[in-house]
Amino acid sequence: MEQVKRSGRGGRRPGAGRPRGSRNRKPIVLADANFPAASTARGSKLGVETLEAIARDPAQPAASRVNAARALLALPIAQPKSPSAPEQDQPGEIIWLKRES
Amino acid sequence: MMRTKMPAVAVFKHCPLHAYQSSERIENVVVPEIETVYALHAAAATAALLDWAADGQRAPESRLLAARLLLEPASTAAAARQKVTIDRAFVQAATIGLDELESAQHSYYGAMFHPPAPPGVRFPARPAEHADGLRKAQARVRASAA
Repeated sequence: MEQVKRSGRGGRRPGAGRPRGSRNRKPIVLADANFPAASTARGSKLGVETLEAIARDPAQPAASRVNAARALLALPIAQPKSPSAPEQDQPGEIIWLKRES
Repeated sequence: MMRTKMPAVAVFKHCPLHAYQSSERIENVVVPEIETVYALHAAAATAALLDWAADGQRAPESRLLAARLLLEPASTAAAARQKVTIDRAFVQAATIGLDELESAQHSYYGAMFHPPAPPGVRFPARPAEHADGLRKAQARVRASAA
């Protein structure tokens, strides 16, 4: 049974809502060349295995599993960058200050 | 009393990599662990990060990074969504002293006043040459403080 709004606001209106096929404004690709978990850079294999384990583990929270799966599949999602993101985006290079003592 | 920061021989993604360990361990153990911690943070795996920060088998550098990321506002928000509690005092206690020269454990990569390895578990051992270098550095710091 169709419900009639008494307020006169909201509901289906011409031009309201998100147009079909509209794109997100700033998609942030989690798994790109600089993201260690999905890259083939040194040491990333352990990160990829960790993400796979999280995605497969039914005991993990659903949000963690979804995020891990997305990182592995390199699907773009709109997500605010955390303050640590600039460090994650740093190239995977060890900067030696001095040789080992 | 002023505490001395553990000297760093390298930096990786803004994480100082400690002295008194071999470059092979840095490249094959510490750096991959740092990348894993970033991956766990990106996946909002708060519980795994908590376990990592308290795990004595992990490199101090990666444990310190896990603690730093856990104490970020973004982690707090993720934990609230997942109904995981981040006990900030626990996180700080689990990693206190890991970046201090005076507190560094000689025989393994950890801090002196942290709990030892439970039965059946062995923390990665620090080779004798690096343990000796660490002892000498600690003795120098104590002598200069006296």
